[in-house]
Amino acid sequence: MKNIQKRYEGVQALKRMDFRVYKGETVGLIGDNGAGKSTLIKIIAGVIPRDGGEIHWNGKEVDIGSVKDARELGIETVFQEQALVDILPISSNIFLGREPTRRIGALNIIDYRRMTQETIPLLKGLGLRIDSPGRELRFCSGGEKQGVAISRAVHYKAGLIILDEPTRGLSILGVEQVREFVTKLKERGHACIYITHSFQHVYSVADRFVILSRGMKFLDERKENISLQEIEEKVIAASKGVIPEMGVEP
Amino acid sequence: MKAASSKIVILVLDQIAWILVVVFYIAFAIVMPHALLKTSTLTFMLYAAAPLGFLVLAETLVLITGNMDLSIDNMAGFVAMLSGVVLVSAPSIPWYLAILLPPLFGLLIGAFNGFFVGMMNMNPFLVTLGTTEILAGARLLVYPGSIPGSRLPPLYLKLGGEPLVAIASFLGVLICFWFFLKYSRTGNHLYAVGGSSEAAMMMGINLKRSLLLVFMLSGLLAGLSGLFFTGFINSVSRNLADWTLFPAFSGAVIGGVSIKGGRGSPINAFAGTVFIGVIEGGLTMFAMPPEGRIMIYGILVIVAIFINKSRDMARDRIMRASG
Repeated sequence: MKNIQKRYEGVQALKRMDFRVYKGETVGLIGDNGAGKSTLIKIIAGVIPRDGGEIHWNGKEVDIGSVKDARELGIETVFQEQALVDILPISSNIFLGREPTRRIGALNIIDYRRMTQETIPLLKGLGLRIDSPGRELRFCSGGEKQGVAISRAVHYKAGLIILDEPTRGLSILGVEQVREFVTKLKERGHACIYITHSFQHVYSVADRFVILSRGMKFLDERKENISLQEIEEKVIAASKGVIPEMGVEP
Repeated sequence: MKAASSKIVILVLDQIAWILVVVFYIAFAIVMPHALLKTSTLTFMLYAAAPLGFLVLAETLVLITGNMDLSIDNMAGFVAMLSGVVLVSAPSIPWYLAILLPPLFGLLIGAFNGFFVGMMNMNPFLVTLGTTEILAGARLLVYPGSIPGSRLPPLYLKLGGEPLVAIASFLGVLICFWFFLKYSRTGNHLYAVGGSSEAAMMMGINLKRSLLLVFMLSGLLAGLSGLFFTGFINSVSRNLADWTLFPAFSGAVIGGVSIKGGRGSPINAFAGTVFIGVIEGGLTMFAMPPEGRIMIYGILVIVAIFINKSRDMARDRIMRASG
């Protein structure tokens, strides 16, 4: 993404943002509330339009105008828990909105058997042991729910998976589970953007870190070149609004 | 072993309406054995419940999406009157077009509800409360009296007037809706909308369209109810379908539809209809006066909500324990 801009009623949410994710890479996107993380992600995911700038996908310039456009390119967003329906079975949640169908005469009917059959290996692939895909989602733990949401993206073989605050509200065990999921996603070659403000959670799994502050990139560094402590210092500096050497406030 | 027994308990909870049907039927039969222990009585109960059954199904659909439609009773009454007036003033309309009038009018009024609830994102309770008042007034405006069956096409009255035709039509409609909800993606999405409208929207389900659709279907079913009531009482009376909202609601909820949305099926609606049918039948046998009936319908609403709540709690406890 080059020179991405977004303005909300007088507030410049993103200022000439350049952002890049390589194939199979996991990027930790860190920033305080209002830093522009979610605006940037919503633009990539097709939830909101951008005001300016270009988006390139696999070397070609593309236009992402809707969530559907993004999905067709292979960009899947794992929203926080609110994109799951507690009262529905696990399998229905995974295929929600994109249920597989089979034809009977002139009718296209939902293929429940296929949904059940595909759910178990999908969850197993993420290291989850759930043997009844028909179980209502509300009886799953927070970590398991996140796994269900992530397995959607895996099922559709997304090239880029955006994880929006995947550890928010989770127990220690849940956070550990999410870390395992992300490791599995890396092994399978999915590129990931991992959005968080708890950089400790992302340090062990990310290949590169991007810190945002006030709609600008504050830091963009590969893991080899930066320690957890340095990130912490940078994050604090960023939230205090210290102007970094690489960007100049207009 | 434990898993098997908890499965049985859940089954019993889900089918509680049938248990109530049997209990009440036996209770009535003990008091009045000569009247109730006849197959003709059973058939009549189901036949008499069919017009109301369409309203139970309408409320079931709307409740599945986590909404409520308070206008279905007056909609059935208004649509029956409007269709009656049209048929009296244009007697040349053939019967097969005539029977399409009530569901068509219902569909349009349902679209009115659906527009405000779905498209304008307004409170369904208040919108349909407004609609029901508009329709109550509109019915008197269209024709402030009753239309006798003799002025309507005979085949128009046949659907609701012939016990086996009425029961078969109702069952046919139930099966169509059961299939639609279970096997079509559009129908299935109504459950997601009821479970979490936000999640449904994020996963690309068109929330506005789903709500518009469900209120239109509710209207269509209210229209069918008007048509079948007309046949059942062999006229369009000025109080046709009055006092049917509460039994329709109770029927849906006792049948097993969740008030919170996301759970329920036309099979539940059928169970609820039969239950209301048995209660109605019993009240008729005991020659219950109208004021008593109305009070009993009120009590039934509260009983329905109580059953719904206890059932949800018991089901949760069992499912959590069984893992």
